[in-house]
Amino acid sequence: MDYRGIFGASRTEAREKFEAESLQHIDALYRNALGLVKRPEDAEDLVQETYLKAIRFYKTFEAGTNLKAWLIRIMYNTFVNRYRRAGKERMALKALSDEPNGYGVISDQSAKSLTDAISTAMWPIVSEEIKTAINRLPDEYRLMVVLADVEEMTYREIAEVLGCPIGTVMSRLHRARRMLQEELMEHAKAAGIAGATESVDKPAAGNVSDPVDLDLYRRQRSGTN
Amino acid sequence: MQCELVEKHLDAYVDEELDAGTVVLFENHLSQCRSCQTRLAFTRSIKRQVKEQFSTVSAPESLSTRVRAELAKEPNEPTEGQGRYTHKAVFGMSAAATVAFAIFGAYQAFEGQFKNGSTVAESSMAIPVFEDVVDRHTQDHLLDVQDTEPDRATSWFRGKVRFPVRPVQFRDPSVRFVGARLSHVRERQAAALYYNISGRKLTTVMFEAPSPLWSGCERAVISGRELYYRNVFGYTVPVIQHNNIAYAFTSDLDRSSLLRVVANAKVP
Repeated sequence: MDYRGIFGASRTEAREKFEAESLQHIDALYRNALGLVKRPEDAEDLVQETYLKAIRFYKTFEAGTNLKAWLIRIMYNTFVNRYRRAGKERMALKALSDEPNGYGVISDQSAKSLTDAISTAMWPIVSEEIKTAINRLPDEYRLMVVLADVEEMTYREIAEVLGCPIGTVMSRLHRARRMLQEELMEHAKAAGIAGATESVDKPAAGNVSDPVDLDLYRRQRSGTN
Repeated sequence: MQCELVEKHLDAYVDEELDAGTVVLFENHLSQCRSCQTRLAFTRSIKRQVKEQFSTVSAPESLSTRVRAELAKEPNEPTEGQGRYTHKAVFGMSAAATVAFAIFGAYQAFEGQFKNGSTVAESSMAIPVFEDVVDRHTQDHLLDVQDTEPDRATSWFRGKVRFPVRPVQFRDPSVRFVGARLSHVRERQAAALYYNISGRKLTTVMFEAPSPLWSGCERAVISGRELYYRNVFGYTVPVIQHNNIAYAFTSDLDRSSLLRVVANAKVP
């Protein structure tokens, strides 16, 4: 069902409505564009190009589905095709996926210190630290974190934006967040918020901390494995 | 369910992507495990900070203007979608979605229910509100106001939150007001008021709530008073809504004592 069906109006009117609704997401598009291309001028270009593509293909948008996700998907594809230096980034991402996950689990004590520091505003520069830590993530990881936490998309929507399986979204998001936590931990120690003895428990060799198969767990529990 | 398993799926829980069956297992474990509660608070804290930090970024005015101008130039008859952006390519639901990522088996069924505004969605949306309320009780923070007079708290909150903070009056004489602090529930401003009742803690969280929170709640009638409450992390959280303000209570008391105390309280 396209917009003409819903509004029962002339094409111009339907298109105007579509434009108006799309423009409501310009902030989301811009901040995600910044995350991808870094420079504001490039981000603005990317956003502009995205809107042009969107309006050219607006008839393919299925009304009632998530317009913001649709727009971000167009933007991400545009970014991949145009801005990302194909070879370099792909290699970097592949390397990240292949190596064993070196990111461990923060101890309870550390988690508590950091939570307290954040929520009691003992750590005034935490906002900068979080921004820095996020910007240091690889593009796709950062995009996932922002889509999940800022744009509040479901895993399925994120998977559709990025064109990858839901399982990949889960494991990468998991990994991205662990990376964030570790970085914050390091900065907290440097700032004297967390004690120097507080540590991150590195996983034992081979014991990667990716999400496990809950379905398998449930089958084992019920003895039907 | 073991801590290790919970830890590995904490993200999915916080992102509200777990199916209801798993959520039950999770919350059973969480209600008994301080360690995982700590981790949960931490994971939530980071998520909240990320959102706060990045939500403020907005597009420059000049960009909006330029985009509008460019869009206006586009011909009225856009070209038909080429292969790349057809509906199936953009939202290949049938292809991608049904591939067996059945780690959480009931994902798809529940996703339909949760994401399109049904009553199930309402009660599931209320859950994080209650979780925040419980967090206010279990977290250990400095108080903004420490006094034995609840009325002092009312004047302190004036100008700091959008709604008048008039504490409930507990008829139970063993309830003693300890202090209060400015807080939040989800994105809303809130006032957290702390009491001591015979050595046990009792917390009231007040926040604006124009729409009812009691879908998904249990209902009890005590002393002729109808009370709605929810079980979160092993705590019973009764809630009273009056004049668009919600009063949510958490306590270390057992459920029947807490319900009795709340049923006998006067809401201003």
